[in-house]
Amino acid sequence: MTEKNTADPSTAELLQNFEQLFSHSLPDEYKLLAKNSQQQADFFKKFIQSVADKENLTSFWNLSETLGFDQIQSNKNDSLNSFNWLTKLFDVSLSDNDRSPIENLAYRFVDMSTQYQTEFIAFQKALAEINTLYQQINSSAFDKFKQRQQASDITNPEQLCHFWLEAGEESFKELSSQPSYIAAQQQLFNSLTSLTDQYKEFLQQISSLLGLPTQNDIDELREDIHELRLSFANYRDKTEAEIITLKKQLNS
Amino acid sequence: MTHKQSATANWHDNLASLNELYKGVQEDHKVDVGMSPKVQLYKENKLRLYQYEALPVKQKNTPLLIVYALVNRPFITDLEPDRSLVLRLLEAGYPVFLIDWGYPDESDKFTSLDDYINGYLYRSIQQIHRHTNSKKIDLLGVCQGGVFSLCYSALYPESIRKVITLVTPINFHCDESNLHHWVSGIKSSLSNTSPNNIPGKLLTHFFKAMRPYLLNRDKYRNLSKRIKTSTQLETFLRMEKWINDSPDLAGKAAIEFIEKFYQKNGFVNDNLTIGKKTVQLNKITSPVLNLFADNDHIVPASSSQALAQLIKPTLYKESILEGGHIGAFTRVSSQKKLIITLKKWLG
Repeated sequence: MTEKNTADPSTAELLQNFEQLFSHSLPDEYKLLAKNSQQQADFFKKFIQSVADKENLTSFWNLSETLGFDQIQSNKNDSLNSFNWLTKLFDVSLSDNDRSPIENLAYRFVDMSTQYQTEFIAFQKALAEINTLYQQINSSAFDKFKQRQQASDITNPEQLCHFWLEAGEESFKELSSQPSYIAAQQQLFNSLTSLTDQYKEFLQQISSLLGLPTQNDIDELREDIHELRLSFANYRDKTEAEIITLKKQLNS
Repeated sequence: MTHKQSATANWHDNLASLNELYKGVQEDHKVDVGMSPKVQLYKENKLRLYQYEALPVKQKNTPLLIVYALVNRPFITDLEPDRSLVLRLLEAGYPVFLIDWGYPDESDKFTSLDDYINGYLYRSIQQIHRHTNSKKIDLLGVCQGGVFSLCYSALYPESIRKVITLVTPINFHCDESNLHHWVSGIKSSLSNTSPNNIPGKLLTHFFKAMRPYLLNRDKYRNLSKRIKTSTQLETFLRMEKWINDSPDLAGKAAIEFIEKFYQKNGFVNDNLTIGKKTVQLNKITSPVLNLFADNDHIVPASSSQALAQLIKPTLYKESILEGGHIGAFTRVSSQKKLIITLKKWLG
């Protein structure tokens, strides 16, 4: 067990020590834990201060931030980069820096595509819907937190953080099982899948126009290789079994 | 002490504690999981079949194959020596084998459930039969691995002596879990022609989203109270490593699993086919031990318990474990009960 020194280092000294550890390199897992610890420490510090200052606390249950994403933007006029986190998970490249030359070409055509626009609007609508529901979770969690705080008259930060957790998880559990939430989440997933498929379809068309192998060509090849791989494995297994049987017969 | 001072002091304790524990950690130090000695018995594409090295104890006769889910890595069953289900089984003299499904890539997007169960799993079990000269083996299926194990046992009953299902979903439409609601409405037909792999990162986010505030924020609070020694730190880091190490899911198999289980509830509605073969759990002829957790937010107890209605009563036994989906078999206290139950039932 770590023993406390009589002269504990100050916060600044601790931070400096960590900086030195990072600069001399540390296994990634250790760095990630330190980073996460620091981030959440900042979060809970701000939360406790906001409770003390009687500020509006709803943002402390923001789900997209909690999950480590950027703030979900639902306004049509917002930059595409505002939901890069979501599109990246589906491997839809919307940023210039990530695109290959052929994707850049495709992107220009994509701009002009009505269907892509339609899918995009559906995606934005789903995003707006889920954003509204996330706001409801925030509000509900805040109400539950207030109820707990008022009922117990507790000011201890440890207990306040525990109330934060209970209020958040309870609100999330209640609202995420509602049909509206389930439908919105499914719509978001389905519209993003449609968007991804549309985007890939356009890449396909461009590849075809330029006489390059299309994704379909590559997939056909992959499927054939996949079948061949399985057939070979099956053949190898059956042959091995027959060899063993033959050996047994020869030995008997 | 004001609120701000108290919160700051708490944070300071966390930082100080980590700072002390981090001292002396070398650059090349590895946070390793799955370190029980093993040899590779078979490989096929990304799949590796391992045989664990026996300990110097009297060996049981029947090989035991651990079949883990496609989601996450199987080495949670061998997290670290004190929490290793594998090691407990080896200590009890069971010849332990494990399938590592590997990390699917784009070339695996057409891999179906038929390929996994009637292909990879079938051929792996044939290898065990040949290597050990055993006509039958025991299966220990964990979560989705339990689903695979039950399918296999129904399709090839002559090959299986006993089946253990651990935290395995059976009824995918039970109300206690949001997972079924969230997943069942997904339009899987969109991806049927050219299925895309499901990114592992998406799955990690998805599972963390089931208890968002606990799993993303609260668990880092009060670390200094939970992690006081370097041993505890290592355990925490191993779990973190495992949680964040999600392989991509082969597209076709993932879509099929959603359709056949989450949407059509194949086991319960008795409408399950894998490839061209119909799977009916009442065709299982081997004894089945169903182990499930009392506090599992991913596979509620009622989902697992539905197996009781689908297996011949004379073959079925169940036992409840304390803990959550993973804690049920990684917590030291839960593992003790688990091993006692397994030893008594397996023989």
